[in-house]
Amino acid sequence: MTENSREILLSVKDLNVFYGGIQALHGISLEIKRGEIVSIIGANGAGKSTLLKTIAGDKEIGSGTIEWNGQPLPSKIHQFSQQGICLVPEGRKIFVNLTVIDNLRVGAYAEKKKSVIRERMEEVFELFPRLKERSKQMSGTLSGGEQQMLAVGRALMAAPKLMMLDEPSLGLAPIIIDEMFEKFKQINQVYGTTMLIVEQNAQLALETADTGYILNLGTIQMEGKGKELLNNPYIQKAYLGFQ
Amino acid sequence: MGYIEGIMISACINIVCVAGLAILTGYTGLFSMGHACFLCLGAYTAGILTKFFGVPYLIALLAGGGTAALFSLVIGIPTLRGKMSADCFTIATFGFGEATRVVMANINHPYVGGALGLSGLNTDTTLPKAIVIAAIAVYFARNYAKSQHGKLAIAVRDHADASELIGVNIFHEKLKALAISAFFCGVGGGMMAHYYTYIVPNIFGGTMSTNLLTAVVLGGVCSVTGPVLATSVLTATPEVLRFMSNWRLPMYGLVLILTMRIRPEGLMGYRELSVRPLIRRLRKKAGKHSRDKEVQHGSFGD
Repeated sequence: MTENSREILLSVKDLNVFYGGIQALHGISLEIKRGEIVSIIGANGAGKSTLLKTIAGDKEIGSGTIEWNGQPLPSKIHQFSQQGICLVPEGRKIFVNLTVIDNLRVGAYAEKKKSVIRERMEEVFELFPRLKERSKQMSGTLSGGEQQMLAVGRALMAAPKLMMLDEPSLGLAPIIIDEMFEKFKQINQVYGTTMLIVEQNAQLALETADTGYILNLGTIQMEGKGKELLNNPYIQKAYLGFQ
Repeated sequence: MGYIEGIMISACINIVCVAGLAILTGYTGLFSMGHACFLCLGAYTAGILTKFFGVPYLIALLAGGGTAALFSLVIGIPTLRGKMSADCFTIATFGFGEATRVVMANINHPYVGGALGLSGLNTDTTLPKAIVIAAIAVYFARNYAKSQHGKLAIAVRDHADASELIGVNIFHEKLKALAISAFFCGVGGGMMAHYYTYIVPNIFGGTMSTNLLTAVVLGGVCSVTGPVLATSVLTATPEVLRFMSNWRLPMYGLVLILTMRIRPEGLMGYRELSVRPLIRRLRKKAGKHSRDKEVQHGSFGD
């Protein structure tokens, strides 16, 4: 399949988002095609998390439109995941007082069929064997990397079409970060899940991505293929720390 | 009716209410300062039904619970919807609790009796009945807490935003917990009405709500048996301390403060009272036969 023949899954047009009187996003427009991995990089306060939260329904749209599969977004937050939009929030936010298995079950909230839930759980365990080893353990006792795996696994339980990851590398050891990004690629290839990753680690994010966006002060400064952005001298200087 | 028996019936009534409140406050994390109003509604419903309509005791209790649950929706739907904070809910329940009491005191219909209340009810709440109802209530609350509903409640309490993002309808979950806790309190109210044989609106004041909440927090969040244990202790403590006359209420306060200092997570926080460890220990002593097995399990025990 060539890049152009892919259909558009999510399209954002002229999006403006405000925190009280402060405008966080200024006229953002972007399109995400089905099955691709998109990375958004940018400095602190560039509006990356705000963009994800808005797409996930956690933040109100000021003006502009977001279309999902050609339809407007649902009105209630909990309906987003039924539509296939799932956000793995920054800082993981797993339910520390529940076991690993129960965390995953909560993730399959909308799914009523037990056989489907069991099947999905098996898939998650296959992807992250570490979670299976610790399935009966309280998730608060997991290490940071395992908690991130659980957060991703929990999102997978809803069988998302678009999985958004907000700073998945936050607070993780470099070796675990590489492993996580390998898993993201795997999820993308095996399940065809479209991924939208917001990341501080620009190098890794752009290496993984099909398409990359550079967000700066609430506007899209640059967009292009991940590999091309990696070789762009301006980005190398501003985001990758090349001299 | 004996003195001890009376205390035990009071404890059973409190257990029914606290088992319900544990689901709301302990599991879902919503603090209610006005659960006495649900006891009030349950007590009046059950009392009126048995006195004026000759409805059997147990059915009247269920009807009392049902009424309380219905009214909990009135307060729950506007306060739990949207992104309103948990504090708003607490304040709303406080207001609702007081309002219910005042409204009941001002309904001068012969069925309700205004500030004079409802009197001449049968003493249907006997100790055996109370114990059975309390046991059923604890059983149901435990089951609820251990089921998927309980897990969702914990999820909503710990990270409401994250639960919502993965598709949990947190409004439903909160409302469900509120309605169930109100139902339990309504049943408890009905039992109370048929134990005291008369009810006046004033007994369902803020003190009662606070006492219920105290039992849940003292017993430990994420536990049903903890609050049940705590409420038994709390019901008995003022009676045990009765010889101190005026000093017993300060002592009661002291017991609370000490618990907060020594065990901030509550008596049983995150754990349940269960006979299983005891059985395991007895078996261990019982025979060499199972010793090998037990040694393997030893490191996981306790």
